[in-house]
Amino acid sequence: MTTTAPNQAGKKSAGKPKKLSMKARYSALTRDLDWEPSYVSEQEMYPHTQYEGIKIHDWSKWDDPFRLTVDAYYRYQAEKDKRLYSVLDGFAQGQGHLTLSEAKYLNAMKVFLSGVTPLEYAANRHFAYMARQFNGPGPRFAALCQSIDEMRHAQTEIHTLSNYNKYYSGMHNFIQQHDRVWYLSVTKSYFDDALSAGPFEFMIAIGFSFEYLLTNLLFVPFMSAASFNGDLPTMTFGFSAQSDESRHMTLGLEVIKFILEQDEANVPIVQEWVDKWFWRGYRVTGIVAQMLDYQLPRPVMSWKEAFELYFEQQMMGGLFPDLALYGIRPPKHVEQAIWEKDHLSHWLHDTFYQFSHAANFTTTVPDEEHMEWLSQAYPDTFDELYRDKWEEMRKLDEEGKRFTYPGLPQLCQVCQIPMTFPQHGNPHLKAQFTSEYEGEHFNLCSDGCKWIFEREPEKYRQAWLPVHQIYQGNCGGPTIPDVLKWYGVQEGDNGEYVGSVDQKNWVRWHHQIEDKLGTSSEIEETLEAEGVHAAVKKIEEA
Amino acid sequence: MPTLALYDYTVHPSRSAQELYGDDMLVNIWQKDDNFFACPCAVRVPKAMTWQDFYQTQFLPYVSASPRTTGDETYAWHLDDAPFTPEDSKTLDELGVHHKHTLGFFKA
Repeated sequence: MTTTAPNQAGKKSAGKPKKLSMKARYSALTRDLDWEPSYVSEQEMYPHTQYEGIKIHDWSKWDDPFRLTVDAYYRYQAEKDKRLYSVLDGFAQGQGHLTLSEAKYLNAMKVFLSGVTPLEYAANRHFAYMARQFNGPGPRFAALCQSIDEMRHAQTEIHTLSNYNKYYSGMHNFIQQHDRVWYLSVTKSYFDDALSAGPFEFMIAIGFSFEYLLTNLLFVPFMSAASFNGDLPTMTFGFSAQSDESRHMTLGLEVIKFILEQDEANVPIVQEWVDKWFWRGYRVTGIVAQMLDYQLPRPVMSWKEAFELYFEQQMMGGLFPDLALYGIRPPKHVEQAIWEKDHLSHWLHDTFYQFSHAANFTTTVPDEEHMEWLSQAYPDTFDELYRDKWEEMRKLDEEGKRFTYPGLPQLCQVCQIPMTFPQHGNPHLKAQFTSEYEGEHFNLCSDGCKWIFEREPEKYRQAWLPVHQIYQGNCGGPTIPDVLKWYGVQEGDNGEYVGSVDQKNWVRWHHQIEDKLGTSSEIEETLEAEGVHAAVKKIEEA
Repeated sequence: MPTLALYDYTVHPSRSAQELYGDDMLVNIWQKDDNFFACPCAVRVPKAMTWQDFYQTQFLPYVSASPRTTGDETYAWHLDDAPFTPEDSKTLDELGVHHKHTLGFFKA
């Protein structure tokens, strides 16, 4: 944007127009986005910013941390897109999918595509709403930029992973599955919960908890996993989104500080939101935990290490001492999360393994090398508590009795995860919490989810729990095949990885590339030698 | 605290209420002394189902799917947190097993 300097206005041929600095251009841009309403009250113009009880005295104190003009914003983003799409093209043309560590790595990306990408789009929609509803021009413009970022992330994630969809199972209808598949209600309900809250709570839920407090646990592991497993497109997407995420983190921190500085009465309200959204978000990160420890052929770091670095050191050691100055203490139930770091991934991948026949990914028992890695990563718990069960699963598998769960799981009313979590401090006994509201009985997985439920039972009783909906007849029919059809699951999408469509194709393609074998009979011999046929036969027999 | 909204928020009904299941209800089955099953299971059963039928048609197929149990074992029961004594001829409803309750079992 260029403009003439004020003293030159109206003069003809008065020399070159003076280019304003970025700061001045930003100021000129946002100044015109704000005005005092004259024929309606401010409350009528911005009806959503009072009912949550948050008191704001001076909206101008919420500065937009982005301070970008629209043209500069699009220029930066276009440049990043150009780089990303060059990589995507090169990867696709060079058959890059064959350079992945192994086909089963893509299970992590199937979880990401169906569990996380739709959240980007949900964030796009709601930040656009925020861009209309906040009283101040700074937060409105910041919300607008984040809204566009989120749309770009949804699009680029879909494009990044679409190349794999040409060759591998489980990615073909991720949007439908996000709305329907049992475990995806965990991520979906987190966002639905936030979208249906007021604007300030949404900002603490998504801007602060998701984008600041837990972002390094949510996104960095997926991108690091891509890097370690030969997934250049996803890694490049990660870099492309990194500067956006930094801005989102800045906005998340700016928001909480702004609210806290505006009025002391805001502190207890914000504290409850921090408590709630930490626990809601932490439960969502469980999906990342099992991905890091079990779904990567080449593991990057364990969940325990990630949690210690990104949460305990950075947040408990860095952020919360800072927030203590505002009267904010670390979240309720954080001690349980810290205790769970040694266990979480093992419980959840066990659940994924037992229910993978009803999901959009495949699972398999970790091999001996992987179990050694788990043993080293979890020296206090893996061998003592979890190895034996995996050995038992392997034995069943070898006997042709691959274990799948015989029924539908009991779900937590709040986080919607199957009730797999043990009691805090006792890994041997699963936790069961209950609550009554208006004569109805509810089941909760933890103190944290029970506390959240009892704050707002009239909200959480509306939860669309997949298992309850299946039993009400709302999910395609009463049998598992009916439900899988309704999920849009196709052959090869789900179940055991060994002997799956993806594994068989992977073996065939690599033999063709390496030119080790030239005839179909030799390929068949290799499939036989690698146990693929035997595994398929066992599954069919079972 | 009540859910904050611009309108009366209490009007939204439960999506899991017993009425949505007609004469049936959901019951959870939880093996308390063994963690082979990743989690408890949920089943839909008639409120008027006798314990004997529940045991035969719901419990035994479930427990015998675990490689660690056959169903021939003798079990003790909990209904949610409290000890529970089943009676074959009584219905679940008569025994106090209601919608979304959890029946915990362990080897006696």
